[in-house]
Amino acid sequence: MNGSDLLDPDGHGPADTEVEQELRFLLHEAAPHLAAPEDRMDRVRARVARTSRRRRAAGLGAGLTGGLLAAALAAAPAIAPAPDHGVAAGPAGAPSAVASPAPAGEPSGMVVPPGSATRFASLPDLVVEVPYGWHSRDGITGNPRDGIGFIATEPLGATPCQSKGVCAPLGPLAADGVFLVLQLVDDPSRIEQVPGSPVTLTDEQPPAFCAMDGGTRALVGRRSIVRDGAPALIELEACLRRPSESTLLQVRQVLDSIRTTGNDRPPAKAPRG
Amino acid sequence: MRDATPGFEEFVAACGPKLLRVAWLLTGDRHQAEDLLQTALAKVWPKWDRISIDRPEAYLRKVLVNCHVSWWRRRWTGELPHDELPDRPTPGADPYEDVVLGQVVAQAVRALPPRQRAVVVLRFFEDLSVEETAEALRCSTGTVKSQTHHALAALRGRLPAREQLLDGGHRERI
Repeated sequence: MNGSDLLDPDGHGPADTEVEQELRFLLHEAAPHLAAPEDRMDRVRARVARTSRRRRAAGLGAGLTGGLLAAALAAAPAIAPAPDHGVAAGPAGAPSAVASPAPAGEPSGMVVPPGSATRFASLPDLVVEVPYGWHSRDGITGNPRDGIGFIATEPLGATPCQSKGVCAPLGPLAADGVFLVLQLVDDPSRIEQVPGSPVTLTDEQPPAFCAMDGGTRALVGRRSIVRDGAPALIELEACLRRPSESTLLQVRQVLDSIRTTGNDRPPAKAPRG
Repeated sequence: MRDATPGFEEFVAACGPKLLRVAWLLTGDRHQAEDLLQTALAKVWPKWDRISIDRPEAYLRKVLVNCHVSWWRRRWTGELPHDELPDRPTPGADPYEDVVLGQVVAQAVRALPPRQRAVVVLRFFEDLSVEETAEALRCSTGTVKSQTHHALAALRGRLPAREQLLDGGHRERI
């Protein structure tokens, strides 16, 4: 291309050509060679996740997914397990991400109360105790052996999340906030390396999506369980923002509490007050 | 965490520096430029599999420029094109003393309305033809020609001459 193709309609000629040449030179001289931030792709990924969340929320508001949610709610009692510890285990996130209700007379301090028995639609034969006041949400996976669920101290939005990392809390984590990802890992080779109990949580470098949501610490824990008569592996990833000791205890309790709806039950807990 | 679509990160690594310069010329600010580029990348990434593989850079550039125009429409912050540059050097003084070249050029370009700014950047920095610019901006070639003409008229006299730059040692970068 050269400048001649724009010099006709209004009678401008050589003067414009000169300006064009100067302009080309100046633009190339002036535009700085800026360094790309190292976490550019992580930021882009987070933007895509936020856009995806907004679209899902907008779809729900427009009633597009409302019908599906209503159908899921209607079907929920039929698939929910029998009451456990005196509390019905509701499907995670079904009641529009309402936090687990706190029992009356909840003890304080380092005595962590048991949570509300919860099951995730993509992990239908597992029950997890979600601490009172925390939120839970289903993930959607194509493979029933790769179920995923999300638990957080912050609201997680109103619709099921698509996959790990995309379903983050609606806002940044508050101090002592936690975001947990529970995932069933369909990898027999890894199962043998993981103890059934007691479980351990290992500190890891917070991944980018965790740091961007305000996380200061990341923990990973794995636990083997018996599922359909076969060993299975559950992996917990926790993103935490300046967690207190009691919160760390609660995270551990979440992993400890995972059980199948068959005979693989954890030790009995003290009754609620 | 979801992985980037294969090839996308490599594409960003290869084309990112140049597109960031384009974004800087459009916005005049490094932070806004990075923000603009990331906005465009976030729009393109989910569609990456469907984008024609022969001209992905052109597609991203198109998204980038149109994002900028729509930003200007949505988040108008009081920026107005002016006939006179506020920081133009006073006559008689060394015109470029204490003035950074990048700032002078950026200010002159930023004083243009956003569509003219986009036309200038696409045509004279990216060296696109009238037709390619029209396609990127989703307008007619006649519009591109007239916008170019108006932009050049507005810039004439506002930009430093090449000789002044080369003589005066004012090639400091922002």
